[in-house]
Amino acid sequence: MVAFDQTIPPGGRGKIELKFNTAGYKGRIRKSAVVQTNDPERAKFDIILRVDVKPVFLIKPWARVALSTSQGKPSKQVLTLTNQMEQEVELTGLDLGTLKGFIDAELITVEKGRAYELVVRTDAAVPLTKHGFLKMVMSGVPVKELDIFTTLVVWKPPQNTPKTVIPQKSGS
Amino acid sequence: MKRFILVAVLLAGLGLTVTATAAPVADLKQNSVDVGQALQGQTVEALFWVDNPGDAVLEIIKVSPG
Repeated sequence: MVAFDQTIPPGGRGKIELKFNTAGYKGRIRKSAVVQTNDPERAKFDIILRVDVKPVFLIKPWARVALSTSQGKPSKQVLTLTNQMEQEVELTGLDLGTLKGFIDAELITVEKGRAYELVVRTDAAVPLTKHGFLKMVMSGVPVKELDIFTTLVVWKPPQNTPKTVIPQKSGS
Repeated sequence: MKRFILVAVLLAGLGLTVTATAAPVADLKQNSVDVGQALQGQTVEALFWVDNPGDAVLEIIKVSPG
């Protein structure tokens, strides 16, 4: 997201504001933007924002859910979420968003404010591909929401049909 | 040098004056801002100040995030 002063008078000063939502990022992040001006000597230049993003929860094995199975074979994935802050951070409320009706999910408190388990299941009733976010509410930190990107793929089981039929001799 | 003086004399004789075109100047004080540490999910922001020491209006035409 950007906001900027479109015109700057001679001798004046203007500002460019660069905003970046760190959801889904972790570690050292560099985001840039290209600025175009009517200065003939400096028609284009880059501005760079650097930030060190720290996740509130350490999520294992990954900070996402990927359920992939064939039709009729239920599948589940369990994520463990461990609080990395000094203070307690409670996870409450689980919203399936656009995945509602396609998956089941349960948030289990292992140690209040410290450790949780997220269990996600599919009964794989029909073939489909869906993507979305599981949203949990956090309390105790300035960030109020924890989003987990989720992919659900249920494919049709392969049909084994013979390509050639070899006639068998009978009687001998 | 002789040629320059000759041209200047000719221009002066014709009543012509040479003027420089006004131009804007984009003077960016800092092109990189480190906002330090942020919690995942927070929105961070950085401000970049652009001075215009030129003698025409500086236009910022477009800012395209990468």
